[in-house]
Amino acid sequence: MSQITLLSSDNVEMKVDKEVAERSILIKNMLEDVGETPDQAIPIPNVNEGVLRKVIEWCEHHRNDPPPPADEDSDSRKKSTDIEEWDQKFMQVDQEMLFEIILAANYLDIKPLLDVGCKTVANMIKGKSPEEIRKTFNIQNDFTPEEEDQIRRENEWAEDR
Amino acid sequence: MANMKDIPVEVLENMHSNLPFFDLLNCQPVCKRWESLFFFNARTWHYDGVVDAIKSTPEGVHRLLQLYSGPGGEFNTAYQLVAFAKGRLLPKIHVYALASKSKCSAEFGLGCKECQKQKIGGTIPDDAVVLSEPVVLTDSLLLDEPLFYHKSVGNYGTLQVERTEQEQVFYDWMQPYHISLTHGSERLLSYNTACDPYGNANLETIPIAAHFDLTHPKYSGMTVGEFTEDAWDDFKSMIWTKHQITFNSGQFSAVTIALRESEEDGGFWCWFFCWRGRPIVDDPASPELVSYLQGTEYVLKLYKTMSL
Repeated sequence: MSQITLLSSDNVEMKVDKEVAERSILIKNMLEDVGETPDQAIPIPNVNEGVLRKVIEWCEHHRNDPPPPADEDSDSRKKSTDIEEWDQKFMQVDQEMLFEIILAANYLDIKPLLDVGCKTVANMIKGKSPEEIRKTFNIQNDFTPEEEDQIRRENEWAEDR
Repeated sequence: MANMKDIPVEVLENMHSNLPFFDLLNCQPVCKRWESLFFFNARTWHYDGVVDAIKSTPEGVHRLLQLYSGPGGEFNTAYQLVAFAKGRLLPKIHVYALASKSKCSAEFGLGCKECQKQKIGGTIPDDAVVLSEPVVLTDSLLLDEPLFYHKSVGNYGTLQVERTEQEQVFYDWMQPYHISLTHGSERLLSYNTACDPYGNANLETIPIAAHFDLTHPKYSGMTVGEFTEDAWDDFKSMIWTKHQITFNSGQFSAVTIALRESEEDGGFWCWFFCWRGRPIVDDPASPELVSYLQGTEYVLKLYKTMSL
């Protein structure tokens, strides 16, 4: 099994099976462009060591999964908040790390991991009021009271349900 | 370290698109970024749909479905809106259907009870025809998909049914329906769910018999093929509107249609065998179907696969 070396943004080298690394479409395309297994470490400038290790852990676990379909609208990416048990545990990290993983998955183009991350966040949103959502994610309310009131009135129809 | 502010718009959209509608609705007032991302279109449709439902178009409905799609993904047809609104996410919202003049295809509008009353009370345009009557879905027994259940045990002509309690509830609920699709004052189509091709009430697959009045001018000059296409459209309008039978979006649903000349009035009996995601009669040479079709002179067998 051929291995490649990844270089995190904080200059830590990590050896990883090529097959595992190729869960990242970004890396896969890079390797295809190079045409052979590179001797030098591949820099991953946007991802630090801790996050990269987590991403590799996920890729290791899912190394035998079928590749995600290219079609964005494919059923296999059908929206829901169902998450596999292993992935649920994997995503039990603090919020900062969760967003780092999501950003890394987005950068490295690992759609299934990105989906898991997004579903995890969706589950954190579910059942919460706007105020609770703001509090959970430390989002500043930038509406004026008048704007807020306007939205509330627009959505009144949905309140009695 | 990263936080929500660092999340790119397209990723935020991915997050929100996993949410059921009412959770998505709660995202609107969180902040301007979240609001601008998702609710411009939804709110536009909200106005179109609730305040001005009569102007809603199939495209508008589809857009709504895309925007409102909760767990389970996007809906492919307006018909599925009914099931969606009925059972899952819009339980207090009444859904009603208006038939367009030419094709009797249904257009759906969302509205609260008052909106609906207003629409039905006199603001329906002259060229619209009320499809049977307003379809009020809030009294549904069905709460979630899958809506159309069956378990097959039948063989050698002994057709048996095993149903869960929930399946039985649905079946019992569906059985007594006999519905007419009206086109003005004329009946175009009626169907009931009470019997199978053998006259048995409890066919495992719960077929639905539809009888089309081929003397209606709508059908004059149509080939059998054209009629079948058209009949299928009408049938879908009926069955989806009234029973909210849905196929999994994105799946291909096979529908077997057999037509036979009616001995009574020269019309066609049209049998639809439909099932979520797969044909009821997997094999075109299936003995059940063949035995039914044997000896009938005017038979058209169509194995039709369509994306719903």
